[in-house]
Amino acid sequence: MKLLLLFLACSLHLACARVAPYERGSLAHPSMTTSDIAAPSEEHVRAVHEGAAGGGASAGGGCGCN
Amino acid sequence: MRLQLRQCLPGILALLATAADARAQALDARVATEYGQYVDSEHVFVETPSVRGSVSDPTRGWSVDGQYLVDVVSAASADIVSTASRNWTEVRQEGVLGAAYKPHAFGVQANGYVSSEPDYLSLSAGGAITQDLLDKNLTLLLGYGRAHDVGGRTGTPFSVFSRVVDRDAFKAAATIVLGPRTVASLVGDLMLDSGDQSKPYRYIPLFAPGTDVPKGASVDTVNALRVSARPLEQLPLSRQRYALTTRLAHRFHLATLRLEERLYADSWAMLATTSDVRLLFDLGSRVETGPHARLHGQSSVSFWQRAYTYGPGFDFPALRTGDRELGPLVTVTGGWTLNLGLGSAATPMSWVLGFHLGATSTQYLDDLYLTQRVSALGGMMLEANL
Repeated sequence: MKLLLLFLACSLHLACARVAPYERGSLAHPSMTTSDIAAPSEEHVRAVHEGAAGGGASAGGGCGCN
Repeated sequence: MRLQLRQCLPGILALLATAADARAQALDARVATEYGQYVDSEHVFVETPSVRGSVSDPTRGWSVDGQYLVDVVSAASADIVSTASRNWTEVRQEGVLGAAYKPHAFGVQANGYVSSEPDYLSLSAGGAITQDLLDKNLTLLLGYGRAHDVGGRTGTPFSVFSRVVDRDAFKAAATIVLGPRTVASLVGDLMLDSGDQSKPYRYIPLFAPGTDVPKGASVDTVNALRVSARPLEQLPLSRQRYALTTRLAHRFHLATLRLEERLYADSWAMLATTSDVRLLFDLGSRVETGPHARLHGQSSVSFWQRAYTYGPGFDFPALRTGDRELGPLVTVTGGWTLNLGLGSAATPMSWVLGFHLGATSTQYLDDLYLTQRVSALGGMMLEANL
């Protein structure tokens, strides 16, 4: 729980820059997604080659759209 | 392969039909197919065709997506030679379905996953909630997933021999808008595995105490030095895995820079770091291209030994493995991506023909049989935004 609160506090601190919806044209570009953009075959090769795991998905884009 | 593609066909047609229906209702529909090929210096060859699609209604806030993937793996690696087994070919099929509903600031997601191969079945389901804050400058996610894996032996029914591994996965993530051209994310993962993950095919060479076995020792050298007993691999029956991943994407005037760093630790004492950088340039309105690099380094698990020795009374080490991905290694990947827009003049990237090519070199720092593996991965992708 402490880690979660720390995570939340860091996120709120970093998000102090308010960007209005009309300023988000660049953030809507497909390459700006915060999820991994590797192809399925690339993801599978990594899963086999690397002993580590995690980090595959995030909370969604920053473009302001749903 | 032809059989697998025939099995894919109903799924592809269903996705196309759904996409066409979505177009009629002015929804956002995407369909993509990829064909990847992998080959490495250990004579492992993998073909990976896949198809994925999504339909969403940005106004109402719902979306559904799915993916179907097939791996056809042919192998004749050093591990196969060391166990005097014949070359083999194996097919794995994977399906993923997901749905999300986020009409306003609060959203829910659900997904399901199935992976099947002759000696392994994996089922999982999960869900997540998301919340937009600070005028959508911050989005938080909390997720949970449960996986149930059953491993066995090819040709032997699971009812005769099987091992079960259950996995609980917790995720906390935040997407943070840092400026009009910069977005970042933080993802924390906690994965709790329970069950026996030991491979029933993996025999561990055993040596007399004091035997000097060099790194990368050949199959012949190992066979000459080892004792006749070869116990099966035995891993701990539980594992707690932790990962913290940060991603940063910045949009320049005609290019996007993506940076990623993942720090990883687990209860088997493995520590790992993974760095990933990707640059995509716009060359006109129809071409995106750029390089990609990835560096991964990891320490070994606590029970890793290059050469396991028996103890007094010919006791085997309680924990033992021959899985190279549990040993110390460094992997370097370099690649290139090219995306060509084939759509109309108004929306050139509504149809995209993409290519990616990468080469990977893995240095095994304390292993038998191998000190290096070199591999290449190429893929071709066609994506349509209907």
